[in-house]
Order: sequence, then C-alpha cells, then structure tokens
Amino acid sequence: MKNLMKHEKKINSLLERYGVKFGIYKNNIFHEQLFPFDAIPRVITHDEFIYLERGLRQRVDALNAFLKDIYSEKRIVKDGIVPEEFIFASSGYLVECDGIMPPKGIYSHISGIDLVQAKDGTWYVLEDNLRVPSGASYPMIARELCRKSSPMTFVENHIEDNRDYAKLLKATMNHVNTDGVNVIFTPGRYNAAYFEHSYLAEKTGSILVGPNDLIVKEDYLYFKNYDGTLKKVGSIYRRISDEYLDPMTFYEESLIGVPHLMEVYKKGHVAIINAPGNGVADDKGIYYFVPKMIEYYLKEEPILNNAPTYLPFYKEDREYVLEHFDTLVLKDVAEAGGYGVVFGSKMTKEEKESFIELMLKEPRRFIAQEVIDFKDIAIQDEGKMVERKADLRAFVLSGEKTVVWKSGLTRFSRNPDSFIVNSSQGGGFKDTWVLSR
Amino acid sequence: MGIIALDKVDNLLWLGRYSERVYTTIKEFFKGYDLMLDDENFYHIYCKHLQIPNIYKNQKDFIERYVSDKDDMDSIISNLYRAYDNCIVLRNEIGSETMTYLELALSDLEKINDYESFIIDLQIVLDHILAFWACLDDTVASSEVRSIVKLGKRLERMDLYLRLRKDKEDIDKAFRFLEYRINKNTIAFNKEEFIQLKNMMKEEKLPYYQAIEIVERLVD
Repeated sequence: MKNLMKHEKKINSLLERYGVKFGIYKNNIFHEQLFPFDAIPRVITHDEFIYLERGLRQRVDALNAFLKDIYSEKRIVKDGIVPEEFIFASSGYLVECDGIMPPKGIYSHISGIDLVQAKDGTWYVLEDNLRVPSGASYPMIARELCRKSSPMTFVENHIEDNRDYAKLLKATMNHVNTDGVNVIFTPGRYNAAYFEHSYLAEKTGSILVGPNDLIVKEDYLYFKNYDGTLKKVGSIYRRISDEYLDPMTFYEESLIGVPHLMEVYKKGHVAIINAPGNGVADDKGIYYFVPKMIEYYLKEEPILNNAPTYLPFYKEDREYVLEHFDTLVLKDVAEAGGYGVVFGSKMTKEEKESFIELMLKEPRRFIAQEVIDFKDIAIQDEGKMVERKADLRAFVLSGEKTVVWKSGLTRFSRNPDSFIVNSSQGGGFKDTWVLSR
Repeated sequence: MGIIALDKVDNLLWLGRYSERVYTTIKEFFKGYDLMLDDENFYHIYCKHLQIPNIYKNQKDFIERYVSDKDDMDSIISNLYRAYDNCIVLRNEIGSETMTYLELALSDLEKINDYESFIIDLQIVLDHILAFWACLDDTVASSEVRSIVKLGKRLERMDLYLRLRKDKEDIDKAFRFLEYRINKNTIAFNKEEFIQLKNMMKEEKLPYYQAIEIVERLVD
C-alpha cells in the first residue's frame, strides 16, 4: 500500500486528465473542481463485507417493499407501524405515483446507503438515498488508475475488483427494460454530477440524453436520432429530480423534463430508474422507521443499526431531545448534501433558542441523533498522515437479485474539526477495498 | 446509421472546428512569433491576417493575451475552451480516452505563465491536439462520429487558410481534404454552394471573401 500512497500525486493528475470533476455553484457561477483523491484506501475485510452485504440487502429489500406498499395498499399505515403524517406530509410522497406499478415491481434500482463506523467497530446506517444517489463512478475510475500507478499493490493484496459496477448497472437496467434502448438522462453539462452521467453512459453502453433528445409519441418514449429516426426507449436512468421529470405532471415550469413521460410510465411502457416518488422512503423522518419496516415486511430482525434517532414528533422523544440538546446532532429532513445539519453543542444560546422554537412549531421537520464517535481514518495531508472523519456510501443494485457492489464511495472531511464529508463542502474521496479472502 | 442525438452532431462538428482552430492558430503563432523577434510591430499584421480585432497595447501584451487570456474572445485559450465545452458532452460518442488528450491540452495551456520559453510549452499543447485526433481515429468505432469531427476540422482549416490568404497550393490541398470529407459524410450540406466553391478553386485569382462566405454556409 505504501507504494500506492507514494503515487498519490500521479493518480490525482490522471484523475484530472480523465476529467474526474464535479460542478459546484458559487455565487451563481458554475465552477468545475477536482474531487481530491486520497490514495490510502478504506479496507473492508471479507467477513465484515459479508455482514454489511446481508444487512444492506435486507434494508433495501424492505425499502422496496415499503415503496410498493405505500403506492398501493398502504398496509404499513393501516397497521399503525408508520404514522400517516410521516407519509402524506413528506415532500417525497408523490400522489401522482399512487397506484403505479413500475416494471417488475422495483422502485429503488440503485440505492446509495450511507454508513459510518464507530470507534468500537459498529457500523451505523446514517442515511438511505433512493432517489438519485451519485458517486459510484469515482471509486470505479480511481481503481482503474490506481492499478496503473501501482500494479504490484493489486498483486500483493487480495482485493475484489470493483470495475464491474457498469456491468451490474447494465444488468439492472436490462432487467426492467421494456424492450427498447437504455438511456441515461442528464440535465446537462452544468449539473454537479455530469462527469458521472457521461462516464456511466460510456461504460454501460447507454445513450446519454438530454431533454431535447427524448419525445413521447403514442404512449411510448423515444430517442430522437440525428437522422430523423426514432428509437424506442425501454429504460431511462434519470439523473434529475422527480419534480423536473415531466412538466405535464409535476413542476410545470420545468424545461429539463420530458412532457408526458409519466403517462408512458403509468402504462408500463418504460422503466424509470429510480422510480419517481422514492423520496418518501429516504426522507430523514422515515429513516427512523426502517428497522420497523424490516420486521414488518420481511419478518426478520434488522441486521444493520440505525444511528440512535429521536423524532420530536413523539412527545417522549421531544422531551429527550430538549433534555439532551447539547449532545445531539439535529437534522432538517428537507435538506440534503450536508446542509441543514447542526450540532447542539456548537450553537450559541440565541441559536439554540430559535432552533427549539422552530422545532416545537414544526416537529415533523426535524430529527435528532446521538453523535456517533466516528472511527477516524488515515489520510495523507501534505505528506503527513493524519486522521479524519469519513463515511461510506454503499451501492445496492436491485434487478433480478439484490446485489451489493463490492466497493463503495468513501468520502472524508479534509477539515480536522468537521464531520461533513460532502464533496460540495470540500471533502475528498478514497477507494474502498473489499478483501476477497 | 448510428445513434447520435441531433445536438451532439453539432457538438461533434464544432469540436472538429475549434480543435482545428487551436491547432492552426498555434502553428501560425509560431511563425508570427518568430517574425516578431525581428519586428515588434508584426503583431498588427498578424491580427489583420487572422481578422481579429487588434485590442493589444504592445507586442508583450499581444503575446500574453493572445495565448492565454480567457477574457480575450480570440485567444488560443478561448478557442480551446470552446473545443473543451463541446468535447465534455461527447464522452459517450468519443470515449474517455480520447477526451483525456483535450483535457491535457487545456491543463497544459492553463499552466503557461512564463513567457520566456512558452513556445516549447505551446508545442506540447499542439502535440496533445494531434494525439487527440489520432486517438479519435484509433479508438472510436463509429465512422459517423469520426467523420463529423473531421468534417468540422476540414471546414475550419479551409476557412482559416482562406482568411490567412495561404498560397494556392495549400488552399487546394485543404479543399481536396474538405471535398473528400464532405462527400463521405452523412450530414446534409449545401451541394449547390459546394459546386460553386469547387469552381472558384479553378479560378486563377481566388475570390477569397466569397469563398469564405460559402465555407461558412456549407453546413448549417
């Protein structure tokens, strides 16, 4: 591994050469920046991965069952497991999707589950991302370049090859494809994850399309080829949010959607990956109920732990939050990307008072969690080895079977005092090695 | 017919045009720079030949801004950015490997800040452009994709050579490349105007302005 670390600079320049960047808007101006790569990998042992794999498959299967239920019978609400306030008041719940059964009954085809490991080695799920989780392309290409920079590292260590992600993704798309071409639908070059959209399209052999390249005709979705012919689309891996997907159904001002796409989807003539309406299941408030979903739908004990979470919505939890405010991290369920996260201990008296006032007024809007004492992981900082907070985004693909990708995106904070690892807030990334034995 | 979105055809064509513009203008700049060593006012003539506004204060200002001023619309770096902007949306069509050479060209051009020996650095940028085209030819399976980029390249070269008032031999050569490419392509072009251009090429005194206008209108 030392050899690999020695070549970190070279790997970063190769990443630059391959255009591995992400976009960010600062003062309304688009900037492209490199996603800093740290060559020290996160290593997951074979046994640890077996455990995570079982837990992640279980979790995603339960979440898929939940989505299927919520958009059809709503048994989980009727049976009093999840209060209806957490479903119908969620901004992720789309009434327009009610009664729609997606091809093969799969809602979350690509799930990004964010985990952290505590100092005692326990893994906790921090967040489920079932809408448009991004990030798989980074460790995928980093591995390719690491293998070039330090081949012997990969001879001497027994590491699962993670470069099969595109193959897994393609199989997932093919499984639900309704007899047409696979397309990856990007809002365009100025999207933060544009590199990933184009890279995955290249690697899966899908067509990368923008809003002007698609058209709905007689209940089918078509790709408009330059020669004037139309090609039927069987699956659309959309990388835009639900509300922009179809101006005839959702946000009518959307210029990046495909008019009437939802009608095609309703008729089962195209698979939308991931299904619209998944936001109801990855809402930070719903997170609390995932272990209950596992018990309810799968009749199994949850394998993975949630971070200890409190819902101010419940009186008992609210009292606990008020009593232990300074030791908790508070999250606004409507925010993402590391935004809307505040630590009780870091608030001034005034901030605390106004936060509590808001929380009591809108209890459904917030969750509170115990601050997990993350296991720091080593990174190289200007030639020195230092320890930083990091998380792991595991990717679970649901097609014919539910498969956990033998890798993941490890993001770390470059700031020694920060728990926020998001790339948009200056974080870097690492490769994630899963040992094969 | 392969699968290419309509707006990608445009990107492919302009990728060809801008990459050629960078390539040819760097080569012209090499010649011009050499002449400037003996005549510090030569840059006035250079601007006139290239039909770019002479907004420069002096020779030093011209050299620095024409090479790497992002705010100068006619600079080499601005044209490379335009090539890059078209390239970045074409990963699917031309592949990551091909794209890397344009990334390298841009990254190396952005790094130029020493105007003592920068001609050597510019040579490297030129090398990357050549590698970019070679990689496109070597790795892109779709003949349509390759052909559209090459058409852009041939159109641009013809346009630039006419603007630069290159000698007849060079222009004839550029025209022959263009003729071969335009007939090989699957995208529509103005056939009548092309015949007119072909006839112009036979004239003893080439009507440069008219020829430039036709080249600009050949492909919409």
